[in-house]
Amino acid sequence: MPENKKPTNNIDSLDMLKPINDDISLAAKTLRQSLENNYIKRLYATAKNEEDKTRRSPSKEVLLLNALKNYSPPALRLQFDTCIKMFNMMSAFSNIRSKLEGASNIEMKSKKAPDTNPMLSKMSELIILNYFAESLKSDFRD
Amino acid sequence: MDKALRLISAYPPENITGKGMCIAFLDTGICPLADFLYPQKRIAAFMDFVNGQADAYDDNGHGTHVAGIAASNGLLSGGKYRGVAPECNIVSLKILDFAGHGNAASALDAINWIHKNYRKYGIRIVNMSIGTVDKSISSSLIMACTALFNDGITVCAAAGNENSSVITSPGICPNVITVGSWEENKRFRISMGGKVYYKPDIFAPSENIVSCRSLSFSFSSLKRESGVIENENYVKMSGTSMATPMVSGACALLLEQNPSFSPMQVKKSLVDASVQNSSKYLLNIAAAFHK
Repeated sequence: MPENKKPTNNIDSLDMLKPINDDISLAAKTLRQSLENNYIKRLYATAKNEEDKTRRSPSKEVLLLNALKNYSPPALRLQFDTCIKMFNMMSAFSNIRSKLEGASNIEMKSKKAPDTNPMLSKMSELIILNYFAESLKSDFRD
Repeated sequence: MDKALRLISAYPPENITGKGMCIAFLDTGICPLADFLYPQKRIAAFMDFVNGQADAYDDNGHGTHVAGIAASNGLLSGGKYRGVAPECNIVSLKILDFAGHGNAASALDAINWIHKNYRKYGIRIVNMSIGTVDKSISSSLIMACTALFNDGITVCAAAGNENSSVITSPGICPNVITVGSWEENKRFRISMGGKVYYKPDIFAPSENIVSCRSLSFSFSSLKRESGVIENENYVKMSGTSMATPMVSGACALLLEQNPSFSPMQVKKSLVDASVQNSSKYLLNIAAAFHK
């Protein structure tokens, strides 16, 4: 009889674990949503703003490419567009990066100062890079 | 703190306690502890450039510790951990967040506030136990410190702990008194705008300095060890942040006795009276009063 009871006990404890699993997955979902709303969406919006700004006031390289594009054979124009997009992205990313670096540029001068901000800054850079990568991917898919 | 005070010969003439002087601290804020409030309230003003709160607080602990080194009366320790100028007034300008980070914009706002209000609060000294994160020179901070210097305000800034031969802004500014760690920093030659000068200007003890502990002193998020606790009211910290308020306190004492001194005269008096050891100049308060 005790041998028969053992698996039943295991099943009981598995049943008990179910609500815990549900709670954990709910917590993970909430955390993901909070991360998305508080950080990722904001960083994506910053990246988009900066990209729009760069497009409105293009660099001299982009101006030159635009001028050349008009004199190039139609088959090549798509490549010019890709080049221009890449240039815009690079300058947008570089602008965002310098803003991130400038966001925290003073610290207390006691020892064992925390180094959390450089890490945050690097994470933000990665998230913004991801935004540009995604937008580039969708361009190539189109 | 008591050992550090002995090392810098913090023996001013009797009755010179910094009374009537006011030091402005650009830091993480200040926790209103008994050492600053009794028998007289000496926190003259608090401005929060980070979260915009009205009441004095310090969510990091650094600012309270720094203010304690310069201006605590050591009430909660029976006088053992009193600061250099135990009766001087305090203006606390919070420009660093809970993690001890800030930006030049907040620092410039705070300096602008001092520029507008220094007469109202009698601010004669500004303590900046802060500096840029890397060795880049912040010309805006240097210009702002020069403006304070022109207002007749003595600015004391930390040399930084990153490297013995790197000084961060605003410490690099020729018009501020740059304070190095007696234990670690070296003095070296700087050439800027055609002028040659030496920094740090003066050195003070910086290792394991015991001073006031903010009620919100944080350990877990700031990589601090619990071993730094001296008792429930006092805590040990190290770095040029701790050396700087010793010099600020010394400035308050010197200005109490010589109210007409210009920032340059204050700097010269302290540097001339310091004790030279190899290339370093250790702060010596007693000698500054006997020169």
